[in-house]
Amino acid sequence: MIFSLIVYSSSGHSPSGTESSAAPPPGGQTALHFAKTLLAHGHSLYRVFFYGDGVHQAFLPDSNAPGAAAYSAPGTHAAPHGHTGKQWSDLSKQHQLDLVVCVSAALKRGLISEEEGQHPEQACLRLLPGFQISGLGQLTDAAIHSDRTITFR
Amino acid sequence: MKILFIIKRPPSDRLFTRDSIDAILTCSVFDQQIALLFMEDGVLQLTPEADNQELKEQLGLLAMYGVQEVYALRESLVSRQLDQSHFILPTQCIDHRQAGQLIASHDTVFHF
Amino acid sequence: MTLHIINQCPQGEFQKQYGVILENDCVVLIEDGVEWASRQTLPKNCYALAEDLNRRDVRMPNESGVHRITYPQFVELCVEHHPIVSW
Repeated sequence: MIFSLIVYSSSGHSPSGTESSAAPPPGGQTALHFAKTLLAHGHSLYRVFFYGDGVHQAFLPDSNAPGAAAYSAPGTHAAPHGHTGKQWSDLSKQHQLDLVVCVSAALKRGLISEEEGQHPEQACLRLLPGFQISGLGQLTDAAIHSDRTITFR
Repeated sequence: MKILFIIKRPPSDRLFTRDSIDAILTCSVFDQQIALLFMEDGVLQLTPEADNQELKEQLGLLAMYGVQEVYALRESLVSRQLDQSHFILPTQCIDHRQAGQLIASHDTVFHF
Repeated sequence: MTLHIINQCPQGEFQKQYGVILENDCVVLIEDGVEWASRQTLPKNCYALAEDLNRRDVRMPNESGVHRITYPQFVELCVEHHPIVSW
């Protein structure tokens, strides 16, 4: 069966407003675990669309942000719920996944500039490998081409 | 494809209401059959008093984009003492059970 | 038949929060949503991710009727149901 996933939650960094959960862990991990499981059981993943606060996961962490140190020192033991985006990157390398970051959600959250929004290739330097910036049309396209479209909030 | 959007955020949540309306407008451009279900504080988006001009303008465009099916959960209106006759979009008021059936009749449900 | 994914557990009654869930719909509790399993009577087709129950140390009363599921079972439920709504 063909799945698409929408990652709408953030993985714990820079959530845009709203209350934070008392038990922040597995933030963003459920979608990743779900994706690994469905792939392991012979299903296919048409696209993972990062929307809303989920777009934070696609970018290299700000070096001042908490958790960034764990990421920038790959040899060291990363936090158990370290950078989820990096794990998506690795999964995408194994399975040639289509990881799409919504340009308008990234713009609204100040992750890319207006200029970069018009020329997404300029923002790619700060994107984790395997992610690409594209428009909301990719969300509709994913829903049309998948048997199941599941949002992880 | 039949796509239902569930809308629960109050109009004051500007960032998240934008996520929702942007996705609705884009899906409608792709010629999909779209319905909207407003519930909880989301019903406040339909009131002329909503303090979010941009959102109101965008909601106003929906009919032009072919979005005709707009539903609101009766219980959410009653508990907020709202009257749908003043809403900025023609809205059908439905109960919990009808909303459950509405959800079941769609291929994809988005809730942002 | 609809599958509802619930990942949070606010105060209040389940039935009030999720009144749109129909009698035969399927409910999957994940993340903070698994806390519902310890609190009250839930719809009959209700499942909770074992991993999240364990992580939060949620004890389910025997009569809760909630089924513990693994990720492969979660994927299987998503194959069997549609549409899928995340609350």
